[in-house]
Amino acid sequence: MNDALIDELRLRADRLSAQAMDVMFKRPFWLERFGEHGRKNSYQDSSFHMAYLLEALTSDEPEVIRRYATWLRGLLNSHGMCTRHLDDNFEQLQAVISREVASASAAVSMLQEGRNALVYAEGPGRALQLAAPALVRAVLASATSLDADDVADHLSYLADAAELRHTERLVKYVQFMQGAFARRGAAGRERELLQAIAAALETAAPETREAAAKVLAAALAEVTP
Amino acid sequence: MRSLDIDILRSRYLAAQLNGERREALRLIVEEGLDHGIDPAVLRRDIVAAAQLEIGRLWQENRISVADEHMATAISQVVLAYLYQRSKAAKARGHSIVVACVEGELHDLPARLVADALDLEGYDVRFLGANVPTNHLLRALSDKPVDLVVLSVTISFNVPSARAAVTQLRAAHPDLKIAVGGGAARFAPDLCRQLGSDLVASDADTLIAAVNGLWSSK
Repeated sequence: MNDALIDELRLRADRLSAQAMDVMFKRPFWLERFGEHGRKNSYQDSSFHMAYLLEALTSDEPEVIRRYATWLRGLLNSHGMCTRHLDDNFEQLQAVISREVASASAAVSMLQEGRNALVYAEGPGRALQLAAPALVRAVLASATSLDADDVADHLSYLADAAELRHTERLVKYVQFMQGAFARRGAAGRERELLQAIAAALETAAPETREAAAKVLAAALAEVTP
Repeated sequence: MRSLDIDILRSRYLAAQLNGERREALRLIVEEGLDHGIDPAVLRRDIVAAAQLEIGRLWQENRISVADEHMATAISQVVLAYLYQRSKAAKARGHSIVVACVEGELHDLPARLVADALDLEGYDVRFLGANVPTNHLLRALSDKPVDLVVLSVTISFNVPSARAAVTQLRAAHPDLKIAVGGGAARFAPDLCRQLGSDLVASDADTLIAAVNGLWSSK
């Protein structure tokens, strides 16, 4: 049924996946955090996403991309990324494919299956993921100097830490961002960002506050003099 | 041996692997395993194969590097060769099997485990190893026909290669039995239907039982 779409995606896979990564790498964060080696790996990852998308479409089996997404999330987390980074990559692929490929709704839907699989099924991680859009809006409304991607990333790292019940990777990310903000001439921005998240959480639902409490405390401990 | 003792032996074996201690790993298998009466098949499954799954998990969690994983796997290759030599083979069953990793699949330890086990079950087995180009697989079968091909796919990224291999094998040998085995079977539900193979299994024991079942009523 999707044979023509699959053929076209296969033919253009490298170019489409690179275009998606080009958009992501407009953020200075990526090179700062992961360097040229990370860029090379990210572009390769994006082409792997296309391979799994093609396999899911060929076998007409969304479970292929769902399992790929959750497996890859674990792998990327262990390399210092958060769930949102993978979700963003899939989102950029959806955008590029919608724009560049005719009648691509099946591919966009299949990628959405992958994105949906990145939402935790239950637990504190899920609570934070679902509350994230509203929290981002609240934080940006109260602290206009903050960048939306930075805020969203922080919330994703918090959600991942809450779900995994350890803060080691979150702490490393906070330490990196402290340094990154200082290099940009914005020392203190990391503390400001975390405090803005803490303030936004005060008006969030109790389960969201509870989900964030321990992990946010660990993050704040890194930036509190 | 109690299951706790097996767990302890596996932990010690894994530690030896990750320290690059080939002799110690083999010593554990021989002196703590075989000399204690543990069947080589149990050692292959519950020590070597189980440790390999743990190695995969450690790599995924970025706790060991690719080099560590290769070193540990190379140690298990030596151990498997030793266990094969120390195993008693069953009477010949009169069926021939080729075991091969599909094109692009570099993880050959799981396939090796299956090849050894099938050989010891009494089958005439040719093991072609890792990353076998599909056209070379076809050539191997036209030189010397077999009753069954077992295609090994560890990572789901290589499922398209498996699909191509099954399709081309079927076209060239309509009566050939084809089995697909490996970790990828856990990843993709309904893989058998998707690929058009006769059997699919994600672990060696299940695959071997299914292979034995192919000819048991004949």
